[in-house]
Amino acid sequence: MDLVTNLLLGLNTAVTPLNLLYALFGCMLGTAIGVLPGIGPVATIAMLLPATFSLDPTAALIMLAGIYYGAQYGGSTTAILVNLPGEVASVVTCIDGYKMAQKGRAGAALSAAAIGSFFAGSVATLFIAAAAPLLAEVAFKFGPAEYFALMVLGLLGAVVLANGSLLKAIGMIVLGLLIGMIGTDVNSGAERFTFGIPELADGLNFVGLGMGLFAFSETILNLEKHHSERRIFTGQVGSLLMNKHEFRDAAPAMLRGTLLGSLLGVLPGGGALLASFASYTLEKKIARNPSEFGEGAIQGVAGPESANNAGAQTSFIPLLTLGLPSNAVMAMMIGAMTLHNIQPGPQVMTSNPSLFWGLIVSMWVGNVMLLVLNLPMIGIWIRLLSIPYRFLYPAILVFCCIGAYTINTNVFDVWVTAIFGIAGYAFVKLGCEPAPLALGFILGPLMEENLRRALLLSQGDPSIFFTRPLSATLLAIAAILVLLVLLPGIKKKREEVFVEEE
Amino acid sequence: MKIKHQQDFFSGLLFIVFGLGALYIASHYKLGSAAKMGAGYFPVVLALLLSGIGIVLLLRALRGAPDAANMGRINWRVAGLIIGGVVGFGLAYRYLGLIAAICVLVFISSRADAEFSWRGTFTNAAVLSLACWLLFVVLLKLPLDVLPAFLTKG
Repeated sequence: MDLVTNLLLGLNTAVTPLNLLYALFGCMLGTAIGVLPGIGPVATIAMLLPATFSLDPTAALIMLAGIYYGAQYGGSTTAILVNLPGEVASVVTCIDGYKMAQKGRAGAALSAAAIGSFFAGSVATLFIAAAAPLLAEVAFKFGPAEYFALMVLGLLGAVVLANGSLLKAIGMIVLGLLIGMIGTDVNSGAERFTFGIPELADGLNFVGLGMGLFAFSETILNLEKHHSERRIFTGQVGSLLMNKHEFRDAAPAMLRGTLLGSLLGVLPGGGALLASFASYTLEKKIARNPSEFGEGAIQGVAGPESANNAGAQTSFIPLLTLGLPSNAVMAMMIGAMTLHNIQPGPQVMTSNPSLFWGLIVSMWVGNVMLLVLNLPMIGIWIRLLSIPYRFLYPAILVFCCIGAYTINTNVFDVWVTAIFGIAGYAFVKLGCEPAPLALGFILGPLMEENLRRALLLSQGDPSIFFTRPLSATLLAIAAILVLLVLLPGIKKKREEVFVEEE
Repeated sequence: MKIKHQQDFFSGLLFIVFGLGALYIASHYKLGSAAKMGAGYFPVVLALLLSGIGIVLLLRALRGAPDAANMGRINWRVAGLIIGGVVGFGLAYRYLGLIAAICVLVFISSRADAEFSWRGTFTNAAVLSLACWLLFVVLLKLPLDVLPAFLTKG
């Protein structure tokens, strides 16, 4: 069977000592930043990207991927023990996880989260292995019109599924696309928006933009808040074993969370965050005794934690098969692939099969490591929480600055991060999400290229997007999505789903 | 005239400024036609779209949305110290090398924390300098100037 041969090839790549080491390193780092509130996977990946220059691309991607799904494991620890989301995707885990900890069942909640995540991670790995080749095959049939339509759908879908004002989010996409135009136009060789600055001729680097937009503005926002919010865990973890009653409730929730998360992860705008919110809502809806929710229902931990890990992993599917990022972390991964001279898209699977399958299998290997890292070694991570933020954030800033400089060994990239740091802070104050801007920036040049080619083929006739069935369908879905959000009923529902985030 | 929705008003304004600015610059590029797009075609379309979105936001904010949201307080001190620290790093690196740059960044940015202490900051700067030197210079062999240029290049 093809799948088996491919997975064996992946296994061969993933279990070389060096790749195992980098997977372990990524998972540990992911757990650490997941445990620590105030630093997320986007910022961490941006920070570490330059340090992966000298690595083999497969090792680099294995490590960076480990950071994302590792953070989903670590995030639940902080949520359960100190009622703070270590990671945004663990916001809902706080609700019931912390209540369980107060009742002395912290160990059981941690187990439910870790075992659920592990189960979800294993299923999601198989799901990627099975679905990715199919999707890549479809992608090979895409012409420029289809690609353009797909990008429109991807960008609009990403903002429809996120929270906040739709119009502002679309504005941020367009602004991102425009910023992506900075640099030399590949077709005519003309320099655009470079203001005569030689460093801008190659365009802005995504790593610098991401550091400023995510890491620096997050730091400023964290420091703005009061320090009383930082809490230290003083209680007892208790037995890690779930009792019979807890297991009976948790197991089906893990299964539902895994399925929901795997599916939602593939959608544009999907990933860990959306998956965990949706799973919590679902569990609450179908529970036999909904009043238990908020009082320490184990389903409210097992479901969302399984879902966010599944979603984190399956969001790699559109990246690996279509070259499209569905969230800011995946945009970062595109940045990583480009730095290592790998053009993301369906050809990665055929031109670089050991990287493709190695990455997929490494996810499962990483999940095994994470299970060990997070259950028996929980005490180490709890101690990490006692590091005061005042020691942490200068370190984050130093790593970012050195990282930015080493992209091109040029101080210019440090100025870029500073400018986007200010911009990122301003955007938050204006209620504008920075993620759509990042997605627009990454897709800008690709979108222009495909629009150009499509219209060249049709001799300038825009109807090409509507007469080709596949492209027409994609655009129709995009239009329906936007219209749905504008419907009053759904608009209200959408606000409700995200209201618990505040 | 009263601004009912501050956030939308200023984001609208921001989009209009960037949109019109980009439109002005892109108008100097070759436009071409839909079939043979010049360097200016896509940017002009985007700039028009952005300005349009900005105008709608602005008008909506003036008419008053029901869910009016204010800007919230802008903490100039914290933002200035963090970004100032980063700029300080860049400047210090250029003239004084990595170790000095790390110290400048740590000392400026640490002031942003309410629990600032000289001792803690000094320790932090020393530990980070050592860690970065070991990690980036010794281990990863990145081309970084550790010491001031006037010391190493005579």
